[in-house]
Amino acid sequence: MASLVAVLGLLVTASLAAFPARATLGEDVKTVELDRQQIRASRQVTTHAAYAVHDLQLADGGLVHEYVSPTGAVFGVTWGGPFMPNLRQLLGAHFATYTGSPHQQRGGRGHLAVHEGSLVVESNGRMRSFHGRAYLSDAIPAGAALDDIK
Amino acid sequence: MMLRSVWFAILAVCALEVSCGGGGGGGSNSSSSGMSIAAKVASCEAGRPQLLTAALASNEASVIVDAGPCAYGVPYGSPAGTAPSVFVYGAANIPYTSVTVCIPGTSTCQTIDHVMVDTGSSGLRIMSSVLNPNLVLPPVQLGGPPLVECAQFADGYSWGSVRTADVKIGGPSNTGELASGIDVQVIGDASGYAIPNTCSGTGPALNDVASFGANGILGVGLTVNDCLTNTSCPASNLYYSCPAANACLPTATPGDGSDQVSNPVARFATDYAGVILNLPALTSASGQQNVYGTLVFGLNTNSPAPNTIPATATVYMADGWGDLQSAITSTSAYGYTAETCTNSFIDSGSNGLFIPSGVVPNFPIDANGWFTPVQTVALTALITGALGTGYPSNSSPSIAFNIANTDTVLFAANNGSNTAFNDLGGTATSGSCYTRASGTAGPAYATAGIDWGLPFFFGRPVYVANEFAALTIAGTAYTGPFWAF
Repeated sequence: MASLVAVLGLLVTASLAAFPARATLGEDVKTVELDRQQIRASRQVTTHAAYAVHDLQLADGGLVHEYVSPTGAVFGVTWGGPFMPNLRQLLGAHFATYTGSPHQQRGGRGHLAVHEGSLVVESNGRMRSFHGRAYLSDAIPAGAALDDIK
Repeated sequence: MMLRSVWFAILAVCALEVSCGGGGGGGSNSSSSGMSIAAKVASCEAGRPQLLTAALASNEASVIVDAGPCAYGVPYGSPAGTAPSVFVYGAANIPYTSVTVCIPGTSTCQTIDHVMVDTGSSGLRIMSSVLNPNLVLPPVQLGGPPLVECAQFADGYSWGSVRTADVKIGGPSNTGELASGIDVQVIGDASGYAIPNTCSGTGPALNDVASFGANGILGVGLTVNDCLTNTSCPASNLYYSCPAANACLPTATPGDGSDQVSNPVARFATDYAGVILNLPALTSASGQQNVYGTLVFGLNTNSPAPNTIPATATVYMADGWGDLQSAITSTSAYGYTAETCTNSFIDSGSNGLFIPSGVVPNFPIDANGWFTPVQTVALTALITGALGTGYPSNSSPSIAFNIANTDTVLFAANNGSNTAFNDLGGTATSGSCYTRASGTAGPAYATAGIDWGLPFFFGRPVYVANEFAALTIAGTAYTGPFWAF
C-alpha cells in the first residue's frame, strides 16, 4: 500500500465550497475551469489535431481528463482515482439522466453502464480504485476516435 | 423489453406466493390490505430459499447465488410512476450469506440474511430498514459529532452512519467467528443528516434494499480498512462529520487508522488473513437458479474447514490500488486487441466479466452495456500479478471462458428466473484499457482494466489474502494483499 499512502500523503483538505449549478459535459470549454476550481485540481492542456485534452489532477489523488472539440465543446470526460469524482459537476445536465436511468445492472457493485440517447456513461471499480468515462456520441469531432477518450 | 418481461415474471411469482405488491405505502408502515410492510417483507422472505447451514464448520459460512432479498420500493427498470410494492429483487450473479450483528458486549443480536459477499470492498454495511428497533448500535463520534460515511461503489453511493458492533459469522448458528467491537456502516439511518452534494454527486443513490439489491454487504476484500490502513483517511467525499442536520463536512479520520469501517475478517482472532470463496462449476450455459457455495475464513490456519492454499495454486500480487494485470489472448468473430490491462481485478461484487471494448473491439452490447453476441463466443485470457518491486509477477495458465448473449440467452432462459451465469459479461469502458509500462510508478488511473466478476469464481476456489496475510505457500513467503487460484 506504500504507493497509495505516498500519493495521499500529499493531500490538502478537500473543498467545502458551495456547489454551482453549472458543469461541463456537452458545455463550453470555459466550464473546465469551473470544474477545476470546484474539485481543487491542477490543470494541464494537451492539444491534438482534432481536439484538446484538459488534464485535471485532483487533490484527492484522482485524475480527470476532459476532451474538448475545436468548437470549444466538451464531448468526453474520463476519471480515475481512489474516490469517485463529483459526477454532478463533470456531467452537468446529463447527471440526472445518468442517475435516473432505469438500468438493469441487477445488483453488481463493480460496474454500471448507461446508454441514453447519445449519452454514454461507464463506471467501473471499487473503493480505492475507480475508473470511468462519459461521452456524447454525437459530439465527437471529425478526426477524433472514440478510443481517444481514455 | 426482454428485461422488463423478466421482471414481470418475477413479480408475478411474488404475488402468487405471498400476496406481495399492492399497498402503495404512502409513507405509512401498513398497506391497504392491513398487513404491515415489514410483515409483507417477512412473509416474502419466508418463501425464499434458505442457506445450507446445518453441516457448516465454525470457519465457514453458507453462500447462495439467488434472486436476492425481498424489498419494498419500486423495482429497477420500472416505468415512471410505478407504485412501490414488496418484490423479490431479481439479482444476477450476486453471492449472499448471512451475518449476525450484536450491540457490543451484549447478547442483543440479529441475524441478517441476503448480505452480499464482496471481495472488492472491505467492511460490513447493513441497511437500517432491516434492523430490529432494539438493535441500536452505538454511533462512532469523532470529537463529538457523529461520523457518517458516503460509501462509494461504481454503481452508486450509500449514505449512513458509522457504528460499532460485534460481528459474528460461520458455523450452523453464526457463532464460529467473532469480530469484536468493529466499525460498521448502517446505510440509510442518517436521513436526519442532509446528504452533501459532494456525496450525492458520485452517482445513483443506493440507500435502501430496493436499490441496493441486498440487506447489506460483507466486504471481505484485500484491505483492512475501507479507506487506508494504519493511517488517516484524508478529508474527501468518503467520511463526514455531522455536527448538525445540514452541516455534514468532509473529515479526516484519526491518524492511527481507527474509526474507519473495517473488514470483519481482518479482526477475527485466528482466521484473519483472508477468505476463500467456493462456488461450484455451473453445468448449464444458459444459467442456473439458486446455486450454493461456501465462504471459508482464514488462510493456512488448520481450522475445521480446510483453508490451506495448495501448492498447486499460483499467487497474484495486488498493487497499491488492489489491481493486477490481465489480457485477452484469443480472438473471435468480433476480433481482439493484445493489450495488457494494468487496472484489472477479481471481484465477487461484480456480477459479470467486464472487458474494455477496445480489447474486444466489435462485441455487440445492449443499452446496459451487456454483451449480446449472436453466437456464444469462446475466449481465453491471462491474469498476471501486479507490476512492482520486491514481489513476483506470476502469470496464470490460460483461462478459458465463454460470453453468451445476455438478453436472448441468459436473462431470457427459464422464464427469466435463472440467477447464476458463468458466461455473463459486458463492456467495462468503450475504449482501450490502460497499460502501465514495466517499472513505471505513479497513479495508474486512466481507464478500466478487465473486471473478473462472479463468473470467474464458478468452479474455481479463489483465495483472497488481505493486508494482514503473511503466508508461506509451497516454501515461498508472501505478504498480502494478493489473490491465489
